[in-house]
Amino acid sequence: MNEEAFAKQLVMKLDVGLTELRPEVVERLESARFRARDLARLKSHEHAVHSAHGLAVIGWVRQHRAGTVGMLLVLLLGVAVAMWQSSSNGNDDTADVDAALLTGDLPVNAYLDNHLNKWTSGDSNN
Amino acid sequence: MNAADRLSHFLAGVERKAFRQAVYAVRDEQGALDIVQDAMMKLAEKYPDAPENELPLLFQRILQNTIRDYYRRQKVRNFWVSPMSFFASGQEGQEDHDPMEHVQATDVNSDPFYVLATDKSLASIQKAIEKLPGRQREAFLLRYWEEMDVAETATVMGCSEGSVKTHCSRAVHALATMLKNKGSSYE
Repeated sequence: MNEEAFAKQLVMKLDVGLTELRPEVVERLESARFRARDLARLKSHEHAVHSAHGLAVIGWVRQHRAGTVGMLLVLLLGVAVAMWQSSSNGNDDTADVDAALLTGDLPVNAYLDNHLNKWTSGDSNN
Repeated sequence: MNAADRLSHFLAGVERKAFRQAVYAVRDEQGALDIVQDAMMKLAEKYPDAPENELPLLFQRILQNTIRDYYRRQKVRNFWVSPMSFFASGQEGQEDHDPMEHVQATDVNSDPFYVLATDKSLASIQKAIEKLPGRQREAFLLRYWEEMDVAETATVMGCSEGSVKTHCSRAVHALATMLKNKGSSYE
């Protein structure tokens, strides 16, 4: 007898052992199988719903091609405007700081005065 | 028949073998039942709409991975529990496992001669399979019991086809040696 035939003989005997499982083991396996089936049903339904939503979106885009292109153009325009604004604001950073400094309550020289001695004694030019 | 019913029908055909495979691997019926249940739930969750011809391979991959996960969890658990139980009881040898305690009781309604002849050799075979190294047992059961070809077995085990052949050959030789005294040798 070769290896394969011997192995086949062994597994035939193992097959016989499958019919001798205790009833509680069989019941537990059956219950696990039912739970798996219910879960598969649920997941299968979820997949179907997701793919239906996906198909609905694709269908809408096909039906309203001009509208979709228009929306995309508006979106691109908005992004371009936002980018242009942010880049132009970057140049005015120093001006903003200067303006904030000049409109503050303290004069500029007060910031240069170490302990504000000159400014508080009234010798400040400002 | 919808996808969920197809899956259920497939599982009904393989659940007993899966349970036995898990028992041979972990030597614990409750652990084996948990493993099979986990594998079924994972299959249902990840592949609820898988084609029927892909289910056996997918299920076996999930089952073998779940068995490995169980081993890892046991290893971590034993790392913490074993030293404590050793200090608590002082009896180190009590954790030794007797594979024969999982051999099933025979059906008393069956033909007594058939039961005696078959169950005796079945118990010996089951005991011998439990004693095989993990990879050899896995290869033997997938290749011969699950009737997978070498390529499918290699895919499930995550190794080369050459390794599968080597594991199978070694497993059969080891089983033949263990069962030699029972008159089941192929030599």
